[in-house]
Amino acid sequence: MAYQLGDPGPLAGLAPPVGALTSTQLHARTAEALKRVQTDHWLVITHYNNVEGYLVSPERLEFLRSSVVELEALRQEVAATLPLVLAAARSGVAIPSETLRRLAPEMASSWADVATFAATAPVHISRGESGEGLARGRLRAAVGRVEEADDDDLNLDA
Amino acid sequence: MTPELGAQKPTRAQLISDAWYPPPEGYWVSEAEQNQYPLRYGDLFFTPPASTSGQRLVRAGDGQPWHGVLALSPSCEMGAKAKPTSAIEVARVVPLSAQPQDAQPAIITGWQEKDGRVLIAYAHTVFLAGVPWSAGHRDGMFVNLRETVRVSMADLSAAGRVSAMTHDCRVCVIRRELYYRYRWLVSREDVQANEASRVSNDSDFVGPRPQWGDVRRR
Repeated sequence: MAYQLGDPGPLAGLAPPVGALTSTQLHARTAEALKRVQTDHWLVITHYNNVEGYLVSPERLEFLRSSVVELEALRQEVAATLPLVLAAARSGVAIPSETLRRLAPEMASSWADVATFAATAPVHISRGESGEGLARGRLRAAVGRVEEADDDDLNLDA
Repeated sequence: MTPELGAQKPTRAQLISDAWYPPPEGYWVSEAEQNQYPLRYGDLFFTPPASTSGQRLVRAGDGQPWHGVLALSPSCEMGAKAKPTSAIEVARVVPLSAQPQDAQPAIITGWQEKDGRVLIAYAHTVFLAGVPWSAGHRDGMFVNLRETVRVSMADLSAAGRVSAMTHDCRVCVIRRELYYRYRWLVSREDVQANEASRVSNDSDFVGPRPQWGDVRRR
């Protein structure tokens, strides 16, 4: 799932706790509480009117955990991108950037200005063309001569 | 600002930029030196009249020759081993100025920022800086990796080389082609290390070597 900036994200659909149980009720009616949590998402557990904890279904907890992980990844991507956009704005170079276009819609540069900026400003690419995840790889160079056999004897017009 | 002692060390990913291309002045061997360089992968040529299969290499709209072609065959197949009839793979080169205004910067950088993320842009393209001493190729252009043909070595030689690509830039083109063909994003440093190893072990290598191109001496 890919979130867009400005979207409320997955937490928008998260209803607040709709039910409360005292710790005594939880102790006495555990099976009922566990059943309720499947439909009510989560329950507040109180003890002498103080909130002592929450009862959450495994599915809901996993949803929250994965949402936090994804949102943190997005936060890091945005944080890594901002210096690039700010550097372009300071240099007056119109890099291909939605954010920069919002900040300075009239900015224009020659191809050489953009190419020079792109070659010298550190950039961290985080996604493929359609927003898909990237396959980052290492190519270890193995030093040594590679012998190739002659390849002129094939009939390639068969 | 001096970093504090004990501060967290930067990661490798933070230190290495994913920038695709060299600065414009790093693309082409100077006009004065280029005769020392044999024909290689990455060199820019004027367009031969036709491919080996008989396709005329002209624009569909007005029948004018393509803007140029970039050699994609392995360098060893273009050197001493090549015969006049050898088929050399080339990709069509297109002028940047013919593209929509908002697409041009993304072709030049090879990435674009969207929603706070940096995305690969136009993976099938390789941006080429203009060749300052070539009247017809002075402005920015790009290779379309989706449009490749084979031309005879004789036709390619007769059409003539516009410019020889620098060793540094060739590393960038290989890296970009790796991404286009296989969707592997590998670092420039890794591609260069492999190219250095290859060059070091190429007993048929002719012409000036890259500064980083002899790993045996290290």
